[in-house]
Amino acid sequence: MRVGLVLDQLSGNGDGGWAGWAAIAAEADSAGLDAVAVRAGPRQSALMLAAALAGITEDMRVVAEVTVSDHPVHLAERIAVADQALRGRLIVALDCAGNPGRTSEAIEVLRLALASRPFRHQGTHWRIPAGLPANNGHLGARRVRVTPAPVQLEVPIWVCGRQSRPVATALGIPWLAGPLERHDPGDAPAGRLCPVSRTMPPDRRAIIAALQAEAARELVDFALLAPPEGTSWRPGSARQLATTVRASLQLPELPDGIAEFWAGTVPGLTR
Amino acid sequence: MLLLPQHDIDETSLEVATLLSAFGDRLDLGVALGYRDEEFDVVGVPRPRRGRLMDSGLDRLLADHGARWPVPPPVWVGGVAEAAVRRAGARGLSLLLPNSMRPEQIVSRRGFLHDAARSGGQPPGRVGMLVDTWITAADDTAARHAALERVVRHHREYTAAWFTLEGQSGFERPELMDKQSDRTRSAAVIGPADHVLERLRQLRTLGVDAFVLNVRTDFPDGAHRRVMRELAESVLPALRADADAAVSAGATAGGPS
Repeated sequence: MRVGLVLDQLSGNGDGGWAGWAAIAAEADSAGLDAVAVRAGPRQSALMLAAALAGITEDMRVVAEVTVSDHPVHLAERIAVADQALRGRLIVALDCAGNPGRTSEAIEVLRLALASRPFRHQGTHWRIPAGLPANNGHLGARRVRVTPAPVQLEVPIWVCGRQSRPVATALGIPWLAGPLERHDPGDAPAGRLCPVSRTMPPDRRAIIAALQAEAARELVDFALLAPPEGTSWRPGSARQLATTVRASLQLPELPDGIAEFWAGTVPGLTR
Repeated sequence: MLLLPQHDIDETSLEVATLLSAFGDRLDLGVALGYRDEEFDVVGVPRPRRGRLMDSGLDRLLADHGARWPVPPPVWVGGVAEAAVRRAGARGLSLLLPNSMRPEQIVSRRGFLHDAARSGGQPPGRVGMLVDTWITAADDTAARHAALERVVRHHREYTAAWFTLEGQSGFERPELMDKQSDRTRSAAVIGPADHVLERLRQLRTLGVDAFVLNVRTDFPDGAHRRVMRELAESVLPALRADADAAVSAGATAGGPS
């Protein structure tokens, strides 16, 4: 199983807030966690912050939560730029709140636009190109292409949030189950990813047991962990999770005595 | 920099707010109109409305300052046409001129900017300019000529390919492209470091107080790195010293002149 952190919202102004926030992501990367997830918010563009993490992380994936707020071709451009900055480490988690038909159509446009070949689209919500006479569109280009293309041949697009489960099923794409949601066997045909986001309970052994139970039923293979309710990730949190939770979920069982060894050697860790 | 009339203002405002909260006062925001029919048509925006969309987009973005942005970033408006320059001036915004301006054009645009600012009751913004720049060794006229023609060729290809000139492709109007190449050639600042410094100082006397140096990266063998280092070591310190001297002279006189 792959394990990542859900980052807190970036707060504060100027370099101070950024430095502390980015340090958590950098620690997750150097500790060997598989991903961080950047949530969308009323004051933050997750894609922009995901791209900004490119300079301070090297290996892990960055999951950016996006909404279809403006034209899907512009959303595709921002995704392509963030994936370029991250050299192919971007995962998009599209929040499906709103009109499900519009969301599905936006995903169709994103897939076309991120494929780096010319396309056209005639849908209910968008007609691309629009073909407006004012733009000589009735004479000019019949197809369009988004450049630069993403680094990845196919940028992973997951769906999350309200009404996301039927969209995932209909389009055959991964469903990111929320903290109170679980995959059913029917959600996960062979080969399709089963990502989940979970809130850490105060005792980490509880999350390990819960995820092991889901993993035993092959209902999770990528877990994104948010800090316990009312708390934030602190310096050292990522390293503790990488040592304990990630290892516990990747081995069938832990060697005898290793938990005690960690408690004595990992800074800030108790048994 | 973004082509504001093509974009959703709420999304742009969110991105600005994100950059401000992460990086504070390191952000300068640049906006321009855009000029390709095809780009407007992709997102269903009628190109003839671009001026009005720029007006309403800027007004909404600036009105958002108080609500969402901790400190408003400097805003640079790209453009040459009188209407575009006055649009920036009336709002107290700064102007970013392109790379092929003649001296008298720079002076007139600065005049439009200041005049519109006065009419709008705003302190005038700054005048910035894109400058094609390259540094060659002293007395190497062959290298200077080669660098200049490389820059001219680049702009000729770009302009001919992407601008419609009187309804035709630029490649079909070589006489118009020749004029553009002449303007590029005389505006480019290419030569030994002392020549580059002197030319930038001349632009300053015309009222340009910010330079965006366009240093080409497609020269071979690390030449780009060499030029950037020479700019940093030989040109920029002298320009900054001029600016500091001007500021202290202005302070002595009781305000900027």
